[in-house]
Amino acid sequence: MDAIKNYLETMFSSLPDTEETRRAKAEILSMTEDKYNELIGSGMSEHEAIGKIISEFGSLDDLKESLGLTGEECVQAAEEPLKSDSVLFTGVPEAPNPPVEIEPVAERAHKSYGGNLRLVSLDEAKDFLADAAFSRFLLGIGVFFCIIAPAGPIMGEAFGDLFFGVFEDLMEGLGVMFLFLSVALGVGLIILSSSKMKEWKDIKKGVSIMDYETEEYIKSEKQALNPSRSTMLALGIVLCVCCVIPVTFFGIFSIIPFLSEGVGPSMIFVMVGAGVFFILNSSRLTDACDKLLKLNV
Amino acid sequence: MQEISSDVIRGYNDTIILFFLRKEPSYGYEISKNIKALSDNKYLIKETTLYSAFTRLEKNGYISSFSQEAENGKRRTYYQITEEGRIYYHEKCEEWHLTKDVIERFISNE
Repeated sequence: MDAIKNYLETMFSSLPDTEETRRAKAEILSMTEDKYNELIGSGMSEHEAIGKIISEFGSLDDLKESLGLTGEECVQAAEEPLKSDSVLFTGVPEAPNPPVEIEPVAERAHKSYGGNLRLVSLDEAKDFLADAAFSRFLLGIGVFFCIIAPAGPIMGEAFGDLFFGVFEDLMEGLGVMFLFLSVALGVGLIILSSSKMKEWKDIKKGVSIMDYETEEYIKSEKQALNPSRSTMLALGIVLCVCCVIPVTFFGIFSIIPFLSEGVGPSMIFVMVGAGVFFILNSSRLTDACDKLLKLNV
Repeated sequence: MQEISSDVIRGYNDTIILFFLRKEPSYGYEISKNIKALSDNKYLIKETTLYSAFTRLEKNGYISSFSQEAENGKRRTYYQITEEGRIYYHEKCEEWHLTKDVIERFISNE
């Protein structure tokens, strides 16, 4: 119910605070309260009920006449904000701007989904961010394992050269096993990562809206995340670019093949793997914020 | 699905509301629920439209409002029809018969 109260507050915030406005707000709140209770009573979930109420809500233009903000000028100003000159000439105070960020959402919701729309609460938005970040983290780890897989046979070979006979074969076998296990683990994690987001399909498809307060929270959250995002992205790129350094460096010790042909080349894969992990994870929260903010566009 | 255009029905929102108030005083949500039910879900009146109709009707003296506590203890604004409101309702009914008669002549199924 708080979400509806907030919605009404925002909607009315652009109107002058008069006796009439306050009465209208109280009366409309009372109507929506009755409607809310009945929808909940009919077995609808809280979020569905709020979404339905907001999508069926009328527009502020309907109210202007009854609030004493009468006149064609008001309507005109709302419809043609660019031609504000015509309003000024009439000597009527300029009409308050309708809360643009609210009305299109309700209208869009009504048109596209016939009211079957969910409202994303602040807590839900936070859950979504946490899940999206975790899902991206799993994806990063999965990709990391897929990339480092070839390091297995390379290291196996290098270790094998240190031994003879059965041990040599054993080491090489272990290296190949590592390759397959690593790929299997990586693919498993990637699948897990995408299944983690299944329950949020409403948000991905855009069949939801956020209330004003949540939108503001997400916006500020995104702002705060920017520095750490850049740091991680830079770290990822540096790792990818520098991946050739170990192999070049260990190339000097060509008398020790374990370093020049084992550790050096393996490091390429490990560093690229880590680099890609950081690049993927740099935007794990900001991408989720963007997805949420797109709901209200 | 074809929806009712708000421009067309606007002139008759007042009549629709008075129709229910003729029988007994009522409050906002109950009226909107009754409109939905009697129109077989074809017309859903918006809260803002309903409220502005109430204020208009009250200003014209067709209805009066009073505050009353409902069974569940919630305080609601009830609206009741006045004598002028009844007269106005009948005028609007006459007007509708005429309107309907005229418009029907221009409606073709071809």
